[in-house]
Amino acid sequence: MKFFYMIIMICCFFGANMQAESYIYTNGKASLSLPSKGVTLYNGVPVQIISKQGNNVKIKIKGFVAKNDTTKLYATTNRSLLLASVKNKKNLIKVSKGEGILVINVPKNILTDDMDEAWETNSDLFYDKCTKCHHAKVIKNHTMMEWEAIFGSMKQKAKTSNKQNKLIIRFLKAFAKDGILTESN
Amino acid sequence: MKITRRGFLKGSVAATAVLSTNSVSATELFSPVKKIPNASHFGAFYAFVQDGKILDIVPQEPDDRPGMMKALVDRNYSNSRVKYPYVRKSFLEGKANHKEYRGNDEFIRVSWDKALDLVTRELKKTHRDNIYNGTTDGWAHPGLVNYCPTIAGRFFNIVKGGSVNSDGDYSVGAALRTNPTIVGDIEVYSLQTTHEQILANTKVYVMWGADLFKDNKIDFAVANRKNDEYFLKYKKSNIKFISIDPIKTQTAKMFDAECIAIRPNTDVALMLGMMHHLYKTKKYDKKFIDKYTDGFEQFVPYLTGKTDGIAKTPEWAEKITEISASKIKELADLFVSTRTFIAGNWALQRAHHGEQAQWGIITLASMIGQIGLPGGGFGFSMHYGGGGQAAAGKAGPGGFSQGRNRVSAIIPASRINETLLHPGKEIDFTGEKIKLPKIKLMYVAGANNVGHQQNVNELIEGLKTLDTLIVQDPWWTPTAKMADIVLPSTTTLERDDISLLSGSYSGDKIYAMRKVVDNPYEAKDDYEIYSLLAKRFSQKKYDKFTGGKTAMEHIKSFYAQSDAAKTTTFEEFWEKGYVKYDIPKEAYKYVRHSSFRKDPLRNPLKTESGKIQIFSKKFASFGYKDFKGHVTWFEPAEYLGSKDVETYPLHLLSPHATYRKHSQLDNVWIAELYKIKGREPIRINPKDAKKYGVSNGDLVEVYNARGKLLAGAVVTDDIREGVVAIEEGAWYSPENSAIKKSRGNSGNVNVLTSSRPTSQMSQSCTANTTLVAIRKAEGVITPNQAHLMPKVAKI
Repeated sequence: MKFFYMIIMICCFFGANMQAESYIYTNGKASLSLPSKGVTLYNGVPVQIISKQGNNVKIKIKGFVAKNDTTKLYATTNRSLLLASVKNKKNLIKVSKGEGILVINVPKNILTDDMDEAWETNSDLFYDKCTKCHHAKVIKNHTMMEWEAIFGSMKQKAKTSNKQNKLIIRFLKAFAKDGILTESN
Repeated sequence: MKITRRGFLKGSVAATAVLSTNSVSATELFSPVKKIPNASHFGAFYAFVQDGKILDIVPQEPDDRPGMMKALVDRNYSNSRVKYPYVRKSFLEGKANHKEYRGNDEFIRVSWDKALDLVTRELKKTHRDNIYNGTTDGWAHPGLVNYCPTIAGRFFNIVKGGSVNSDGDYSVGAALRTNPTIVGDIEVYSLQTTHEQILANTKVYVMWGADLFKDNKIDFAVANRKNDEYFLKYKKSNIKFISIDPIKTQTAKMFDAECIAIRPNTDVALMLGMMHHLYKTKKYDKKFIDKYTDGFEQFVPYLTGKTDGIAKTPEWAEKITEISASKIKELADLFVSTRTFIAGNWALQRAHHGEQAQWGIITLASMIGQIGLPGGGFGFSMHYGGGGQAAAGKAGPGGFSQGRNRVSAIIPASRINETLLHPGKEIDFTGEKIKLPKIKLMYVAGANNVGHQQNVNELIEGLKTLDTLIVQDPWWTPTAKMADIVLPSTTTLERDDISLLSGSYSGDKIYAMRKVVDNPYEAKDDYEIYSLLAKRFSQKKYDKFTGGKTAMEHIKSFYAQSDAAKTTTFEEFWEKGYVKYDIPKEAYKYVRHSSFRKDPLRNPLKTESGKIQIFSKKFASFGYKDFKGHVTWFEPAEYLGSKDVETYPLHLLSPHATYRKHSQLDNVWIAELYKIKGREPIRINPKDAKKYGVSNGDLVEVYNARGKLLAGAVVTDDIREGVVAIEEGAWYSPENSAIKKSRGNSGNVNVLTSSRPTSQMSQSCTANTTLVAIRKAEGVITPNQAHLMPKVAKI
């Protein structure tokens, strides 16, 4: 198998493992900071639930880290989509052979088991801004890198704000050919 | 009152005078003339209306080329209008073999209720995976509320959960699928280096197939004529213009360009010949290659012939291009020695292996080393939508969201023939295998697929496989004539709307597209038609489709989303007809790729390496025979160097029309000024004309194995020997619709073009890879009926 598809397969396998139980839900924001824990979690990221206690849920997020920076957890080996980041707590993400695991307690109200709900703001924004002149391309038909290039070209026409650009590109990358999620039917 | 076509203007004024003088007590002899703003792909205008009739259309801004815009009046009153809903007779009767009669059947006028019931019935019984939204290939007009591609998509996504769409487009399919990987941007629709930077810095301006003056007349949004003002400055500048084109274009003549009349489809060989010369003489910009590109070392063995035994020398290129090796070297030396801008075009990539053309220009420009410098590098959209104009950078109106399409199957644009005739077939596409879907129902609104698709005869056979073909259009286009159900829609002059942010690159205007006149027949607005259909599915779907708003409420809502709404009320905008944004001074300094050049680490391209991919591992990994990891010369299936020239000795090109926007305006009086005996002109070199016994003004038969057509000969030195050109967009009309591959009677060039794809990679259209033969037309010639309505059965 070709190099690129190996990466895609790795990511899909990884994604399939993650796309199971719950998703970070930040109610329209790109990310959510938990200052007391020194952690920033990104909207729509799939998580595994380890345990539940009252209003708290212990979750696990798996991803990849850079050799020289273990504070950021990415969806792919080429560090294209940020899943979580930690501040002043370098050992919070457990690293093994380039892969990273973050286990953390979070309030249950920042989780949803509905993937569509988690990504609704991003999704609506994408379809609102990017389908008024042409139909949407099938997101799964393009890689994250291709989406960066395509959206990078078209955002000048869509006249989207920087904040909107971030939300849209995260959505496109998450559901890309080499992304971590697949749009529901 | 019967509405006549020609002389309408004169007649309406006279009629008004007679009516008014009947009343001696009238205080005014003439009823008032209203001045109503509207806008089109051909420009923004004021319509002057009296007693509900259009007297004239006048451009809103100074415009030396208002002809096409003025023709909108004639188009509104055309005999080709669809006045009522119609259903094809054998379809309505439910005949088992009704498909055979498609395109050769009578129509029966029905009520709107009946027509909408039938459409609803057909949509309900067909699974969304088998519905092709053929509207996605059309432009229609620049209004946001009634913009067919958007509201059709919205309708299908809401009512059916989706439909099969096309992927990419006919214009730039190959570029769209390759440029993002090569240079991290689609390039063809991206902001271009400004005219100010070109005028201040460029010494040599290469128009590689680009016809700037002709093609900038129209716009995907509302065209402006600002480029015309810049072109006057270009003409007065000291820039040396070079046109590499088999056709001596309007622009080349305007700029007194040096014309390099290349053999069609051999541009990549010319590029490689130049690159080989630059490499061997070490004149290429090695520093640029090292710092800003990736994979040059994988490309060089191919360039020098180490990998395939063929060095791509200028002498090698001379044999293919018929441009002398000395000229190839001279051009390369010139480009690398002074500030050179290469304006690529889109026609080059609408050819067999068309992906290579823009990759070749990017690679050549990389070796020249001026990408990102003011007035240097390349641009792939200087000919389109006001390319080169500075951008206002402000937000335009909102628009309808189409929402999510839950059908993942796609048809690469231009693969519709193959899809209809070979459903389930697996084809290569962008590194994947895709299965062509089974299409049972095709719905087209405001698009003319039987015309813009290559190999029309093949398409017609494909359309006969459909269970249902629905067309919604103001005119009896060739596509409407093939339909089972025809719904009449209003023209852009007959409804209110608001424009896209215009022009496509300056983005400095929003236009009120105000209703000019009432529709005199039974046509409905596209938005209303889809609303009525949605209601037939359910109140909930109707509510979702309309968002609980009328068309005018949507117009106001869209306007409210623009930056203009912060300073200008909707009422002021609507009354005045437009709002204009100022263009920031900084915008005039824009140089494409300058930030990448300035700091490639901080501003990397969105590519594998962050640099320009002269070699792409991804592309190489696909393992395609006809698309490799670097720019490659592939011999086209049809060109002047192929064996087929013994049978079909002329290379046929189909450039964009001079007086149309694709097929729009084929049915107006302007066409009578340039058509030859009612047929589309074919340009032919005097030497070829003599060889084939053709004289200026003759009707000729142009033919190949795919079909034959009638065209009118224009004998001119403006086209290279061995090459002929028929502009795309004439309405297809067969001499006898009852027989297969009947001779095209109007000159629609796609009777002759091939549906062969560019490559396994892009599967895009190859209209410009076509060989033909020509002979003087003889015998009985029936009139061209392209613009007449079909037979309507009396009931």
